[in-house]
Amino acid sequence: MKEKKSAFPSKLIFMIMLVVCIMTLFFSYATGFSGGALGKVANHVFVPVQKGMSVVADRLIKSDSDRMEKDELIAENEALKAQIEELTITLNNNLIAQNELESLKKLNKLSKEYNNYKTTGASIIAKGSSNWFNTFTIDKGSDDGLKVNMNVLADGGLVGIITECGSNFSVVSCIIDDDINVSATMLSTNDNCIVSGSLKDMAEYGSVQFSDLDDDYDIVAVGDSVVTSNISDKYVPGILIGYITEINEDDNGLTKSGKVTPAVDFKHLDNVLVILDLKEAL
Amino acid sequence: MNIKRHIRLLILMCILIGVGFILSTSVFIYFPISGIVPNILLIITSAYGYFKGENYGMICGVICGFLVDIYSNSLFGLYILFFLIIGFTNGQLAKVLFGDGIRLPVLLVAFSDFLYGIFCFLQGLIRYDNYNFYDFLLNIIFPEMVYTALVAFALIPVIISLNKLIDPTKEARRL
Repeated sequence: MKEKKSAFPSKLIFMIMLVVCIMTLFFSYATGFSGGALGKVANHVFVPVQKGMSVVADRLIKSDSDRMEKDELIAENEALKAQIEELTITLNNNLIAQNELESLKKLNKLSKEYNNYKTTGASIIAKGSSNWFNTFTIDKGSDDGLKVNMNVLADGGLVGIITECGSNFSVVSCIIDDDINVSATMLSTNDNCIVSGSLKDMAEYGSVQFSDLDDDYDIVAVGDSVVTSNISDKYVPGILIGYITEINEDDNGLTKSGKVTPAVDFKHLDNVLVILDLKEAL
Repeated sequence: MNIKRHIRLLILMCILIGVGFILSTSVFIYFPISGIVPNILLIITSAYGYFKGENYGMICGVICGFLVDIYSNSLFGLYILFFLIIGFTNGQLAKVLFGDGIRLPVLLVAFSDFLYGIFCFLQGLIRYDNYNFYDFLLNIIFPEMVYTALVAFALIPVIISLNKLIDPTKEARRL
């Protein structure tokens, strides 16, 4: 078979490109460059297409599986109405308690106000460009008031944090990513710990890890809720992260660590809620 | 004349990479297999490396790696390096391995995906602790290899026929 002689010496080009890549690596390590302006150009090209794809998928793929029978809908409606009545009664009781709390706080001159966070909804238009990333892109950006470090929720649980913000899109890093660490509190004992993402654990057990828990009296048990703590510098307090599925004592005998199953189903994320209040501002 | 032909082929490559990127981030996320989406950019790089030689494979690798790098939160240039190596390796392997039909390119895609998985694991090993290869092998690398190879069966003929459309004068090489 005739071997075609290439006009360019490919091995030489490969060596040159290898050296250029390694220099780029060192450059990006030294300056923290990570795409920057080039990324913005690429996003201007891709984000409108991704938004269009998401709309098409809404019409074609998701509506098929969501179609329910009319009788089922009527029955669900009745059940929901009954639930609304119950919840309204609970809400009223809570409002009375809250008013009492506010007046007591005023009496004791406590300055922090009860947190009612402003939120906005967004939908996911693209997931990470590799199976090894745990990021996704949402269709709102700085034009809608979003900023970097805003927390993102779904299904009442913490999903992640905005790491990049364009004018009409944002990139969210999930808490299951290895890079992300969240300062958390056990709801039962108010003890702090650190919840760190782990791609390996998520792939195998469907959970993330927690560590550095001080639990001298062994009160914390499997099934307890874990929420974001007051001392975190990026996450607003009180957001549910997940439930403990395993708890072990560390080798040093002082702290405990284990696994937390996130409250959010990361495999079926679709619409998310972004908290518009930044932790730094609170 | 030669330059014009190369430019047309390069423009087709860029369009294919753009479409592939949109497919793998916005379309295939609705068809996951155990949470895995196929690595379309890898298929395109491997196909260009195998069918058109190392130079095209390297150019394709640099562009694909650049796209993936923008959205990654690791050092910029890392994924450019990975895809560059994969494009070059496919070009070199094409000179040594001979085979008709589509089985060999698909096998090369699977092998390239395995290499890609090892690269990704290595860069995680350096940055994070408690990284166990076996878990990743079972849960991410193997499913991605299988799904990507399956999609390659459908995608590689499309790439070849599009290239033949743009450039009919070139002698028929392999497929």
